Amino acid sequence: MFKTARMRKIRIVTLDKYVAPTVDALHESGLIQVSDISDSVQQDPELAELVTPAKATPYTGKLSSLLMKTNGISELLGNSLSEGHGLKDTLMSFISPDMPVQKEVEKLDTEAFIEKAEDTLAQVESKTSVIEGKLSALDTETSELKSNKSLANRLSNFDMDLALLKDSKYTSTTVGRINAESTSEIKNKLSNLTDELDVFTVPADDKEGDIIVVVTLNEFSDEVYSTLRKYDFEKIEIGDVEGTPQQVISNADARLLTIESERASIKAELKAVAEQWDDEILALKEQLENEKEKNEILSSFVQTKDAYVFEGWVPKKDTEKVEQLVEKSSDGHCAFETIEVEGTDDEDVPILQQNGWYSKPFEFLVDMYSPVRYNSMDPTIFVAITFPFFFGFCLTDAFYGLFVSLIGVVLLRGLGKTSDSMNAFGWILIWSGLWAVVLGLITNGCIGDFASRILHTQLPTVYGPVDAFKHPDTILKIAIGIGVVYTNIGFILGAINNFRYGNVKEAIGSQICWFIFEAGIILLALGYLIPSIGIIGMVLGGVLIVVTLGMLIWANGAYGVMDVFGFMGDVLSYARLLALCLATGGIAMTVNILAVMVDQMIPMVGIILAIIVFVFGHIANFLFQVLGAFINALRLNYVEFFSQFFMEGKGKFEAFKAKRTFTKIKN
Amino acid sequence: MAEIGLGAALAAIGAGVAIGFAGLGSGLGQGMAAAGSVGAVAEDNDMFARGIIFSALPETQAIYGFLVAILLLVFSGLLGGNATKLTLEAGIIAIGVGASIGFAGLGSGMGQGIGRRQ
Repeated sequence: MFKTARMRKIRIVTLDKYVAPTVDALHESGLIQVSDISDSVQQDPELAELVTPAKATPYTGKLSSLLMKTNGISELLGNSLSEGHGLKDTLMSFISPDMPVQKEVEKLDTEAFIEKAEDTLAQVESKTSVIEGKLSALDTETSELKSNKSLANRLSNFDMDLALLKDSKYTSTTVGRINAESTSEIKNKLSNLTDELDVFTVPADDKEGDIIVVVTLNEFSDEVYSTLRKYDFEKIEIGDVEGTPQQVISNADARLLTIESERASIKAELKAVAEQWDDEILALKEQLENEKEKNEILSSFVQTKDAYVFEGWVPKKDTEKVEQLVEKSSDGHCAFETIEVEGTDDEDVPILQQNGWYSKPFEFLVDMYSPVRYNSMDPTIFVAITFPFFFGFCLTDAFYGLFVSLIGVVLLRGLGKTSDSMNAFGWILIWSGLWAVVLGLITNGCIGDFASRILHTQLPTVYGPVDAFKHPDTILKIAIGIGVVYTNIGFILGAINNFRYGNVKEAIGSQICWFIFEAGIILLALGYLIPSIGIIGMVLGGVLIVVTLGMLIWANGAYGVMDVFGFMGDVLSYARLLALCLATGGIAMTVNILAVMVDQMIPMVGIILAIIVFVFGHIANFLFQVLGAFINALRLNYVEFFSQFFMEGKGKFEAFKAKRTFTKIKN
Repeated sequence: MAEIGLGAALAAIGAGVAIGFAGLGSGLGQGMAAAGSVGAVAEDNDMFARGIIFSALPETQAIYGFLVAILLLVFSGLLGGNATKLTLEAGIIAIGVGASIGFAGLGSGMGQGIGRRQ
């Protein structure tokens, strides 16, 4: 429960010809995390003489390019299938997502698989490439039409065929926009250039400038252009447009409409292809990823002339299974060496948590912080107990809590089926919501003071001394009490960790000293409160506090004394449980008051407005408070609890494992 | 409406100053720290937990202010007691208490926010 799975390092040697089946068997089993030994071998001169780093197989490049192509097609088909999905479909994808269909696939060697993949891709591409070509042609035409339309709009005051504005064999036509104030000056300048030109202008579409057209002999075109450029001239390129601007616009509009219908029918064609091939392509993509991973993993191995050597981490309980697998797949042509983790030299050991069904989902929250160190205490069980409780304490509203649990159930039955993290999140929400229900019922929180203010009754479940609004001081004492207990649990875990790793001074100066400090505080208080203990208790308490200060200075130096404030801060921080508890109830009560006021003050429609205020007010409060409860429940664990003991590990156990979401091997 | 004495009214001001200024410090500090955290998480998702920690740290000042405010309200009799008995002197002391935690929270909250943003 408090320790992660015990691991062993295993070194495997197998013959050249058996390496592929061995890798294949290990990949399907997912029992080993392969380590890259090619670099470390290079640093050992003795080993470097015997072995050389192995390389990925020559198929890797081909597999990568096929995977890229498959990704492209998969994206195209996926987009086609999801196009036109509305809000309802999006909601349904959360509530009841489509379960992936596992396609039976044959076990093939890499060469045969590549051949099969190429064949499948060729079949799909023969259909998709034609459709993509048509769509691309329509896109090009659409953009051309829009550009022509935009040009026609700019020249909308011309009542002439725009094709006449194109250059001819002997003449050049320059069209552009100029400032209206410069028009007469430009005309004068141009007429000074030559008589062999014709200039005319019309107002631009925005009425703030003029469109100028200059037709001249080819030999004068450069001079015309350089003259125009002196006057803030913006050249307009006339392409292959034909017809008057109005004709261009109406033709473009008509064609754009037909393009849209053509595009819709082509997309329907693509959707039909997607429906036929999407599952096949998803399966192929998964197979390619698996095959690529298997072919690339060889670059983590080393080799001799006839054999391969590789190593990896295996959970201790699975070591025998791995040995049997390798023996079977290599037909007995293999050798093993298992290496135990020695003492506290565990920095590189990957972490595989092994918690029970209740605390398993909460590994997700611990992982978000960091993987724990191999030999240190795994705090998941504590997080599993306290996180939902803290969440419930912060939310403290039975109805809101019920809603949180319902969201958890929806997540579990929906996305949780396809995603491990969503599954874990679903369970976390269910437990957290249930705590909010329990604590809300006890402390008189159910849609704020809905029962007393609107129903004019009292919740029968309320326990008077912890009624949140009548006795916040009691809840504050409970919150601080929880803080003291949980912080002490953190100290115990921290002391165990430090003793395990031989950090005795650290254990005394960071954890044990606080137990003495607390004993001192208790004796001081008892001496003050109980006359029969009196001065003796106070003196003893004082001595213990002085001893604590001495321990802090011994272990952490003069500034160690400041840790007293850190300790007090950690404990007092649990007062946030009360703060958030009151915030939920306070805002909910305000919403209820507003709703009642609206109902009483506005005749006729008052009740409808009151319902609107009530519903939206509580939705907003629910969203804010759930977020606040989640963050603060997380924070109390991450900041106040973990800081007492948590030792970070290097990484999680990442098994060398084939993905089998869309495929399964045919028996 | 229940009557309260001048002393209790001053204590209520003290509670308001405590939570108000400490909350202001926390808010500013959290804003600064969260801006840095959001940037860090955008670059590296693994920074999420640390981002939460750095963003949440300056919140402690508001909790201290809240704690002192509750204590002032309880001891002055404004919460679950008799709010008419508190003397004027005790009320002025309550303002001093509230102001000290309030301003300390304001300064340290902002300071923590600046520190965490780095």
